[in-house]
Amino acid sequence: MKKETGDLGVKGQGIASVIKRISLDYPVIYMIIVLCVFIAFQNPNFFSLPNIISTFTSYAYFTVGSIALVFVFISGNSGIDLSIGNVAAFSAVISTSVMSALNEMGTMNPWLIILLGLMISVGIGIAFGLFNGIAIAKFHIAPFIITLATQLLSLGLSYVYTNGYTVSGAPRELSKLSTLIGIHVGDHIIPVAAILPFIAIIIMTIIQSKTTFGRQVVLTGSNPSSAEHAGISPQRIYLIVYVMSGLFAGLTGMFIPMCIGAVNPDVGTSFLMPMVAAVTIGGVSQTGGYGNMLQAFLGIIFIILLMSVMTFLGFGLPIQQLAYGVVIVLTMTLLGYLERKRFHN
Amino acid sequence: MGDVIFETKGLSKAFFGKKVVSNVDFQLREGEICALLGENGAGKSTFKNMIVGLLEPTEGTIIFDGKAVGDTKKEDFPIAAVHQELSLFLNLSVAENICIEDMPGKHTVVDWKKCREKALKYMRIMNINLDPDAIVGTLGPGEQQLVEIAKALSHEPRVLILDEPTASLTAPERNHLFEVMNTLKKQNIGMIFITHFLDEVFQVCDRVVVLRNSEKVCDDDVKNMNKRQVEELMIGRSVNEGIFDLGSIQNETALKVIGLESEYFTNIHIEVKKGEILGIAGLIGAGRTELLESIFGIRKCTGEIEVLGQRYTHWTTQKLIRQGVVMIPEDRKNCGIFPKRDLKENITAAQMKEFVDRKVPCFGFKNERKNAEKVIAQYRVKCPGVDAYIHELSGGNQQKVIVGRWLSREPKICMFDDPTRGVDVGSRAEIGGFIVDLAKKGAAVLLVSSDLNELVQLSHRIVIMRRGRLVGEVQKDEFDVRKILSISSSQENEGEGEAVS
Repeated sequence: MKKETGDLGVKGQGIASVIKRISLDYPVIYMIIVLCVFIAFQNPNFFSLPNIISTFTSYAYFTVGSIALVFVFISGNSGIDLSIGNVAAFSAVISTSVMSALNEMGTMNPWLIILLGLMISVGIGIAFGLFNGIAIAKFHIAPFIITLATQLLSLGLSYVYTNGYTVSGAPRELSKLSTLIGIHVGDHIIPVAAILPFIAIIIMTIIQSKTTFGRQVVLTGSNPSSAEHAGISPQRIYLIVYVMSGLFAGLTGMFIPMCIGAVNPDVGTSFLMPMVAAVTIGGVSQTGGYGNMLQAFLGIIFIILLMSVMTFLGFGLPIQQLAYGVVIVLTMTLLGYLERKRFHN
Repeated sequence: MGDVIFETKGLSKAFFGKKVVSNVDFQLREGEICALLGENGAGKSTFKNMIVGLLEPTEGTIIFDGKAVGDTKKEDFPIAAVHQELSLFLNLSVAENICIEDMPGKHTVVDWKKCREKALKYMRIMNINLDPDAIVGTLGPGEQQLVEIAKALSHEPRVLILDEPTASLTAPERNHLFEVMNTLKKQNIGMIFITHFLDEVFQVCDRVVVLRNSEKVCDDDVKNMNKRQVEELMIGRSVNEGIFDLGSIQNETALKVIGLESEYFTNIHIEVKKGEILGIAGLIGAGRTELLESIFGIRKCTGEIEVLGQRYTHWTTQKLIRQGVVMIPEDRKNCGIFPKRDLKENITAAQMKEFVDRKVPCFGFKNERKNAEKVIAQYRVKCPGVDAYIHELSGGNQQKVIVGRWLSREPKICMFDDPTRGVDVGSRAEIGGFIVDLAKKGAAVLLVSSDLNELVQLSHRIVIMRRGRLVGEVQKDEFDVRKILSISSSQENEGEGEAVS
């Protein structure tokens, strides 16, 4: 790339320029390939269909949570939502305990209970999103600060509500969604829990590329004053983006009892940083105005692969943390370099 | 008056072969205040930047006290400048700001007591009385200007350059500034005073130097000059009128501004008819940009506007765009382009609704590419294609993309804020053509420009803004660049405006 610094845009056709564009937009692909080759040597069974299905199923909550961050990042304004992990956990705690109480009465249809649980979970998520959004859009509080505050707030609420104990007892039908109910492929079942994140990604892709709202988010992130001159209200965009982030946090809250079963009040703390890492490594710009769902998805796959590798190599949590640190520092340096080259001639 | 402390001989500067300052001989004596005048683009700023050492001259020498620059280090020369844009840290105290470039103290530890003493010392020299611990952000613009001067004095200069220090000051603040200048004068500091307000020149200056089209055209004692002479020297050339064939004005009012008020302007009444181009003249800081942005709903203001017969007391940019009002902003980089995005998206930004499917709400962008290609061809944007990123284009082409974005919507009311600033001569004429064509199609145009010749060529009528007020109105048949310049830069308070219109 060094030779052609002057023309990193899209000029001409041909395979070379396509490859160049892909390399610039999705550098994470190369990292995924390296990781896959490594895994293939270490543990060839990893790429068997059942294992792939189970991996995607067990990380479904992680994928949905990461989606929440994409629009927040693209909308600029140093956007970040640190509260998703703990808001998801709080939503899960409340909805699971409500579901378990209703379930014990034994009179209601389990699916109705699940639907009610979903509504509670999403409602809590949206409420927190609205709180963040209003603070950021109306009172101009830095996203980092206010979402850090709501992160602690939701964690505290979870602890207070549960006294630190694990909550469980959602209808069995819910966990069946991550095991038995799904599409049958030969002898295997692709459970609903593994499919839903993909549907969410597709919907969000369409929203970003095909709707005026998606375009407004991107343009606001690119340059808020130009956006204002073009009749887009950046404050409105920030508000909606954080509400959407809260909505996805609420959805994530539903995936926790679905995939894990029991809900620990501090379950959210551990997966926030990998989510931020996934979206960033994928290439979504945290300064705003650049990035798409596909990039985020590839970043998610990379982090999932990395987590799996760590697990089957038998690394403990300390080493895992170290490895995340190293990988994130290296990729961020690379991405920062690429973005500079591209956008600041 | 004292000896010559500073002079330039044959000073020239060329950018890309074009001379911006050519062959200027200049002398400054101790304790002399010399006015440096000229229209926008005459070369004042370039000249100033060369003598303070921000730019390297192409030819010529700068001499301090008989020693040419180049023999000694530049930092050693006793010259300091107060630039037009203030360079203060608004969150720091007066004392900190004055000493910021050379904090007193040992090693890395700042001696705050000495810092205050130092600040007080320079304030004493200027004979002003400010609290050294006051936070600069809480001071008024006049006091801030004084802090800026005290900061410049901390270099112990013998030559002080003041670049439009009065632009944002009220009358009493200005008089205070002049007192300070006279105090400094008594201490044998030579000053170069750049301003657009000619009355000020006759109030404080000893000598007048006028630059025009990069050359020095006048260098004389103030006593030997009058205001009219100076104005004629600044304008010089005869104005080429009628290059553009303006269309006729229709009888229907398109935009009416009724009593608009904000912190930047007061009591603005404007009426523009369909097909009319209304020029707004005024100096930088007169509130023209703020007025346009307020009409466009970007800045807060009170008052009413009437757009195509519909009256608004509260309005939003979005509402106005839907009504067919557009604005091409002055600051292209910050308010116009969307960096990191391609030309397609940059062009569509203002009219997304028209590209989305009507059946599924807010869904589509099917014809976006075709439209973008059409706009690029129509507005003659030189670019590799509509997928190119906007920041890859040159300034003139970026501006054409922005103009294309807005004009392709066929606006009914169009506001241009200095559309040709920083644009090359070729694109300048093209953009002028776009504006005239637009008006001929029946749009009402509000045109702000710092280039008076452009304004005179392109407008049917010109209103003049000064320090946030409308102070005059000139009809096409009585256009006179000198008169407009004189009204926009005179110092008398409002009242005489009515006499002109």
